[in-house]
Amino acid sequence: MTYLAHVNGRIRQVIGKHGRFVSFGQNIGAGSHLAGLTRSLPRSDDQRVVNMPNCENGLIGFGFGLMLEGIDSAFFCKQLDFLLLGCDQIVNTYNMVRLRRPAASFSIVCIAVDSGFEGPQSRLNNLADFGSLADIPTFTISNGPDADAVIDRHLIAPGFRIIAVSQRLFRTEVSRPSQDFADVSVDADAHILRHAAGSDATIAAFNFAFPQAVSVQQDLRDRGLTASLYSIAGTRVLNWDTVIEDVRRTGRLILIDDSRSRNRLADRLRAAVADAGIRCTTIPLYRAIREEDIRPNADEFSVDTEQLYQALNTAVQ
Amino acid sequence: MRISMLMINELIKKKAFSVPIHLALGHEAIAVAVAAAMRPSDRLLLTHRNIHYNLACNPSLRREIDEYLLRESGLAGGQNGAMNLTNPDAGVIYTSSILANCLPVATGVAMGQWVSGGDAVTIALTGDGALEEGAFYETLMIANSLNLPLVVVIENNEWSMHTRIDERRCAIDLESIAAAFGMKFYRLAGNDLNLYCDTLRNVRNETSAARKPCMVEVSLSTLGDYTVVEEGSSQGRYINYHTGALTHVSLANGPIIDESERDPVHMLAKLVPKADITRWVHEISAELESQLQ
Repeated sequence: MTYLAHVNGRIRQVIGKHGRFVSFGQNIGAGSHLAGLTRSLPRSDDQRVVNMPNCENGLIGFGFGLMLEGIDSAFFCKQLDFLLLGCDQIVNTYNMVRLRRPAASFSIVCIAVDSGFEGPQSRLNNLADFGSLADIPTFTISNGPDADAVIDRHLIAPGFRIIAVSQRLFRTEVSRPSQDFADVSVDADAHILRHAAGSDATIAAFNFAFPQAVSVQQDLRDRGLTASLYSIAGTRVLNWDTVIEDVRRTGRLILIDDSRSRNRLADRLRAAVADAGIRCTTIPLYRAIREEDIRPNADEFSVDTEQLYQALNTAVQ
Repeated sequence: MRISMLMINELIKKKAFSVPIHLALGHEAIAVAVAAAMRPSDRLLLTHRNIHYNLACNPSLRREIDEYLLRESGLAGGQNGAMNLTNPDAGVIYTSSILANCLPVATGVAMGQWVSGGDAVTIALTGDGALEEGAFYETLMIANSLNLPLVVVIENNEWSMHTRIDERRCAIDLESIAAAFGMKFYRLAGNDLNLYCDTLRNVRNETSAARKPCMVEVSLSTLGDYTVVEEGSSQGRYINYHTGALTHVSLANGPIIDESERDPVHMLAKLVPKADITRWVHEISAELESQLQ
């Protein structure tokens, strides 16, 4: 099953089980249905699917208005960068509404346009940047277990959040780590998911870099090393203890982050590990931020595993 | 309401508040009309200059002032201050200090009421300065596209902070804009309180029955204007009141600030004998002062 079909199916399942709900956005009920993300959303007298005009600021305010009236809703937005047009609502309205601790749910589900060929729009791919605007709960979905945990717990829940999916991953098979580690553990907030446990290194994947992290984990295994594998789905992680304890055990931390931002969540984990007084080898594998990426390009993010292996060996010696 | 605002002005003069307060002297007639037209299930969304609506919807000057003092006994428990003051129990569900910010939220509130059933109407306030924001037009489009029972009231004082609108931008013909969106349009001017109340009541009922949005433009004057001499100029410049204390306006001079059509209290006073006005002022002042003890 593709990543996109999995996410779409989970969204339909969660909304279908819920009562009154308003799904809204541009082209969500017509044509490609946002490339399939919103295909076949549940419709009934109680569950509305509303195609809306092209006015993102207005649409985000609309969602907060529904929230004030106690109506659960989701704004399905074609591109993460479109949310820039609604920053006033995301920051100022959210700050007003959260004072009231609303019981209703409002989620923005958007697509990070990280396939590269959109050029300048692809440059903005880091959901954590939006989260930091007003301490907003934000979640990235980069694999099947992420999708299940985040959509089940957060798509419809009191409060506001932004959930982003990756366009680059749409047609890929849903990523799963090695079948040797079939049990995925999820923290209470669906912020941190552990997909595999190992003893030689701790790998943490940020933003939409989970496929690269799986590749690294499998490559290390081929070289006789086992690694724990985490995806950091929530960008508002307040408690890193589970990962910190793993690093204390393995002594090696590999951070993989495909975002183009100076505000990398991976650096917060790095700081938390340092603050915990753990002496370990840390290997950050970050996407380079390059001026030429403003032009249309393949937006590939690959990890040089040979270089990584050498770094690990050097550290061991 | 006028006396309440003048009492608050006296406290602003004494620097009693840390939060910025935008008085609305001259805006009273439309606020009274909106509050009178609203039914219990209706919703009202406001802007940074919201004091007149909050006073019209809330009879307690004490709670208004306590909110400005950020006390728990305030209208919003001291959580909102002045520019974002809400009072959900009275229908004031959302207020924003950001220009045009409340308008998109109003579309969602109106949609929520429709989803929940009933015949409630949402009323959203804004000023003529907000017409320059994209959110204004987005709101008209959403409200019309979804046939939402939304009344957009534009208080037009022809100023944006200290700059006259005609010094800053081209003219905007709201009636034409309403027509372009297929909306009904109403214009009010002259501070005739009875006319305002009748019109708002009809607008509210028609909007509820038709389930269509409409627009009401109210021409008014923000009283308390003054003249300043700007740096590098020997000429005085006429400035509209925007925020803070009105040092040249005093409660001791009575509630009428401008003996012209610009002042709704002056217009109201023309409808009743002077002796009654004097008695009302005395009684209302005593009542409000007792609240402040």
